[in-house]
Amino acid sequence: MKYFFFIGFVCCLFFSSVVAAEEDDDPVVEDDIGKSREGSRTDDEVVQREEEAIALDGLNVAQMKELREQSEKFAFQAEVNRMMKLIINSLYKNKEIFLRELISNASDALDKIRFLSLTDSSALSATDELTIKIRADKENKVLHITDTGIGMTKDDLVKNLGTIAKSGTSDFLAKLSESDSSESSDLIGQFGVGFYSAFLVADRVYVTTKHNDDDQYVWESDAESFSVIKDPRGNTLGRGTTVSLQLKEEAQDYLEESTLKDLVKKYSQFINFNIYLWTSTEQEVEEAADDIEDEAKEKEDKEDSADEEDEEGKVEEEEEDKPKTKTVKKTVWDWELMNSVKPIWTRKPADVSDDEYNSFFKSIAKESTDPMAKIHFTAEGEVTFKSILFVPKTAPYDLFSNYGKRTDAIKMYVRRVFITDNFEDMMPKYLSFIKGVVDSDDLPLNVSRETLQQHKLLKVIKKKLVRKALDMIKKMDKEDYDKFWKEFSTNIKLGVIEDTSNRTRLAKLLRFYSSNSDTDQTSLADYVERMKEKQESIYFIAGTSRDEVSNSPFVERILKKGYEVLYLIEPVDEYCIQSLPEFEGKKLQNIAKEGINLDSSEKAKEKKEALETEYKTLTDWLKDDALKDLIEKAAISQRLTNSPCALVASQYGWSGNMERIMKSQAYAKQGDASNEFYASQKKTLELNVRHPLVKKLKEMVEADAEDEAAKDLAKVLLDTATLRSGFQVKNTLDFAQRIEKVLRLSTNIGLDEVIEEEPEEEEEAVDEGATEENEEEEVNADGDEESKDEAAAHEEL
Amino acid sequence: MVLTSLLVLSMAEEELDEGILQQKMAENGMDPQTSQVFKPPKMTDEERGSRHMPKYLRCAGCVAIAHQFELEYKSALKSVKAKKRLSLVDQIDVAETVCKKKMNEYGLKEHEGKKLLSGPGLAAADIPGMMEGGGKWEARMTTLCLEIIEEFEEEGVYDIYSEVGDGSFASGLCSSLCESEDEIASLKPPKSESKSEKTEL
Repeated sequence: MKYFFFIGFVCCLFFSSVVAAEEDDDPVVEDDIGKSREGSRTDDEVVQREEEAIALDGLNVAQMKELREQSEKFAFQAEVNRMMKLIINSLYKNKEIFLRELISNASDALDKIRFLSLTDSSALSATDELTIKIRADKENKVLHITDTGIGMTKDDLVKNLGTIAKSGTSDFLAKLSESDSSESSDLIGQFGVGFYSAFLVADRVYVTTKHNDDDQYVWESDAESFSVIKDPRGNTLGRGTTVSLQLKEEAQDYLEESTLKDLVKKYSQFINFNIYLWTSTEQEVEEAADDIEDEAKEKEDKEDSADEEDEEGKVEEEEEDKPKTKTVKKTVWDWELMNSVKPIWTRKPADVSDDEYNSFFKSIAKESTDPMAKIHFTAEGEVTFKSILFVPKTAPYDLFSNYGKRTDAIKMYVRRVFITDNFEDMMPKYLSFIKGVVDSDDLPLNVSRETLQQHKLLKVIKKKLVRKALDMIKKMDKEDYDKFWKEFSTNIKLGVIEDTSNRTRLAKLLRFYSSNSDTDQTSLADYVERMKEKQESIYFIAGTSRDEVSNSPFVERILKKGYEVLYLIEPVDEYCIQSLPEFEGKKLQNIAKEGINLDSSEKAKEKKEALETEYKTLTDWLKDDALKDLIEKAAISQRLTNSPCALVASQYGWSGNMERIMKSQAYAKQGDASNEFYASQKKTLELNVRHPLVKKLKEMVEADAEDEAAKDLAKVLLDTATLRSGFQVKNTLDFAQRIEKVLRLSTNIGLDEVIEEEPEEEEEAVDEGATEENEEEEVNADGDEESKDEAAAHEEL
Repeated sequence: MVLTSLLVLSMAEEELDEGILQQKMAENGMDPQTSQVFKPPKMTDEERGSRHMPKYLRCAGCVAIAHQFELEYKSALKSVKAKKRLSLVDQIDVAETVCKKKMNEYGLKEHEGKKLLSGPGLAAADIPGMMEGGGKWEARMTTLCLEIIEEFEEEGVYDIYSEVGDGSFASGLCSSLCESEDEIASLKPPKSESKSEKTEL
């Protein structure tokens, strides 16, 4: 109740200010000042316009009261409240960004109406001016930002300025609350909630807006709640929006011309519409004294009739008031253009400085750091377009949680007119981190976005963009590339999987750890360069960590022979490398799979064949008897040194690593036939014939093929091989029982020795145990010697 | 009828057992001496499991892809005025159609103990026999096709086509995948072989 009373009071204040201006520091919601085609050039025009505006404000008190009662009050959506608090708390050191955000919103609104006008010629009928105008009203401490953009209907107002419609709000809030000031200033822009930054500097914000399809409305808020009313002054804007900020006491600096000039210049650099600032210059003018008098009189009349405080009307300040015709020093106010609107991409690359590129990147990507790399090019031939692409320094936080869903990375222009940043697949998913602009002269302007998206030339543009983007990445120097790889390695790997028609290009960008260096990653090209003369394949092994893979039984011999092994330790790695048939003519060989041929000489072949015959009894016994149905076959290994045996997947089956990854896929279809097929594929058990355990097993089998101990040994060997090779043991209970059996045997405990019955009085038993322990501790505390003895006893165990 | 049942059987068993075959033939009253039995090729692990075209078939794959490009270029050129080139957009369209839509009729055939890639534009298509196709084979052909596009880009493929014309297009496109002109010639069906000979003469 109190709340509404307050709002009512606020509205009352607002209207009374509009009509009667009883209180000096009450804000006045300005009508649009920018109706003429461009910044007005003469004082008179301005004065005239001001007068019109004021005349339109002529509503009597009764009308005001009626309207006030009709005005609708709204509470902000809870998220908006929370967000505004967060914005204010996290950006209080960086207040000036409110201007950047408001200019950016104005520019967006202008883009929208310009785009609309391409297909609807009546869209600009209210005014064909497309500008942003900023004016400080020092007297009332109000800053006005006016655009002639698309404006908002009443529904838009309530929806856009009261709720957060964009998805991922909670993401945003969470992110915002943990980010530092500079990051959050980028975030608000990225999430389209920049408007609320107005409350960083303003106690109260008024938004007057006129959309072609609706009347002019005023939105007003003190950050606690807001109200919307139909503008009693009628349609004064023509079309567009004025945001009026009642500046806080501590933010009055933003009314100073010099401050505003600096800021507007800073934030308007890459806005493609003219931005004007209301500025004053001193001029000496020769004038007839009559004119001055007339003007002064006129002004007085107007004040009387409109009952309006004329804070804006004082366009001219008369410094000297000499009678008759004399030289007069006048402060002349006029709109001063703040930006040059020639888009940066239309300039020659040689004429654009790095600083300009960097600021341009920051402005389009809403980032605070410089880009990592850029490319600025003109494509010629059948399709002409200009483009600048950037790689940001850091990956966006939602790169993979929203993989492929973000579409705002590339801004599409047609003949300098912004069309959209919402085209699907302007870049393939894996390159969605690339930011930039594309501007083509060959695409049609007067078609809908949907038609344009289907346009055939777009296909050509997309293809060229991808190739240029990859070019830009390829050309990075080593230091930059290392940083790039840290941020975007997964993207490139996904690219290898997804983009077959750029696979070779992408393969050259890959980096992996290898046995060559403990710290540095290597490219495949460097690996190939280091390959030994007789080495036929690029060897790799995949697993969860460098420790795991470098100690895997599979790498033993290969490293011993002096070959280099790539260590693939990211989950996506193995899948990625499987997509490569070969690299520079070299096959990529997973050393945990079949197909290793370390020595292809005749002598080695003979030796191998001899061994195979020698061990045939054992391998056949393993396959057909002891491990029947568990393995595909048993074979003599070429790759083992220290381990007795290893389990090897077939060349096209799943390695242990792949099995682990595929089984943990959250989205995997249950009982998927192809997955089951791969998972149930039987593997080859490879034996290290130089290992004593294998030798022993051979002896045992040759002596007695039915020997149970030999069968047990074979099973345990298979279990350990399964584990060491990175696979999962299928029947863990069986496995545990076998291990326990082996433990019994090795500790000389009979297999039939029974397990002691558990005493029945459980609780007492626990107590007893506890006291015993206590006693023990006491004893230990008493005598050092005893505890030493005990330690020794433990060691013996 | 017998053939279909055998095919289904072979799909299920992956490898066809001679014994079962004999039995089936006897059941259906076929005489092993006079009947001709087509068997699907016995595939290696690579032929069964790899997602890439086995190396020994890559040349044949390329010749098939060249054939499809020729067909598509010809049909696209019909709507272009005489002597004019296809636009880049059309070239990209052709490449897309070939790689993504025209790769589904290829597979493996065994003939006289030799395994051959079979399908439109290949000599093996005319050899009677059972083809193991679909599934992975289409994916392999598509991958190979995209690899060729990456090597030359769409414009490059079309440049070769417009330079050398129909007859020896495959020779231009597949030189890096094939060992020799002779290999390419041997893979093409006889008709286009004679054609290319004519142009050479």
